[in-house]
Amino acid sequence: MGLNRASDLKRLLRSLAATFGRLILAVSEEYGREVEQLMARTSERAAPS
Amino acid sequence: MPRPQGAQAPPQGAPLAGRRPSAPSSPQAALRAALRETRGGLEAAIRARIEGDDAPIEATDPEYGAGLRAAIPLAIDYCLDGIERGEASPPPLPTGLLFQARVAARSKVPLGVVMRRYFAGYVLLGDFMAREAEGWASIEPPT
Repeated sequence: MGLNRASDLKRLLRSLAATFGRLILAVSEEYGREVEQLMARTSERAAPS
Repeated sequence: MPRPQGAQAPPQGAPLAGRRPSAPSSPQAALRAALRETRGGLEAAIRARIEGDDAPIEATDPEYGAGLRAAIPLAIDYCLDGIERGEASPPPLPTGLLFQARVAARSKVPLGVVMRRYFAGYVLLGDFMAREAEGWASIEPPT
C-alpha cells in the first residue's frame, strides 16, 4: 500500500512537471514569435521606400 | 510599482485528503476533488504572488493586466488536466495562454517576468500537491 502511494505521487509529480514544461515552452515560443513579428514590422517601417 | 501589502501565503490547514467526505477512486481524482475545495485559495495565492513581484501588472497595453488575471485559472486547469490525462495524452494548450504570451510581448513585459510568474504558480501548485500528499500517511517513513 505504501509503495503504491509513493508511486502514485511520483506519477502525479512527473505528469505535473511534464505538463508545466510543455506549457512554459509553448508560452516562451509564442512570445518569441510575437517579438520576431514586431521586429519585422519595425524594420519594414524603418526601411527607405 | 511598490510591493502591495498583505501578499497571501498559500492556504494552510490540515492535509486536504483528511477533509474529504469520501475517498475518490484515483490519486488524480483525489487531487481534483481536493482542488475543488481550495480552488479559490490557490488562485488567490498565485494572484498575490504575482501582484507582489516587482514588475507592474498594468503594462502599456491595458489588455495585459486583465489577460494576466484571466490566465491564472486557465493555467491551473491546464496543469490539472495534464495530471489527470497523464504524459501519454497531454491536453491541448489553451489558446488563451498563448494569446496572453503575445500580448505580453506587445506590452513590452520582459520574457523573464512572464517566466517568473509561471514558475511562481508552478511552485504554489506543487506546494498544494505536497500538502495533499501529507494526507497519504502510507508514504511517510515509519517512525
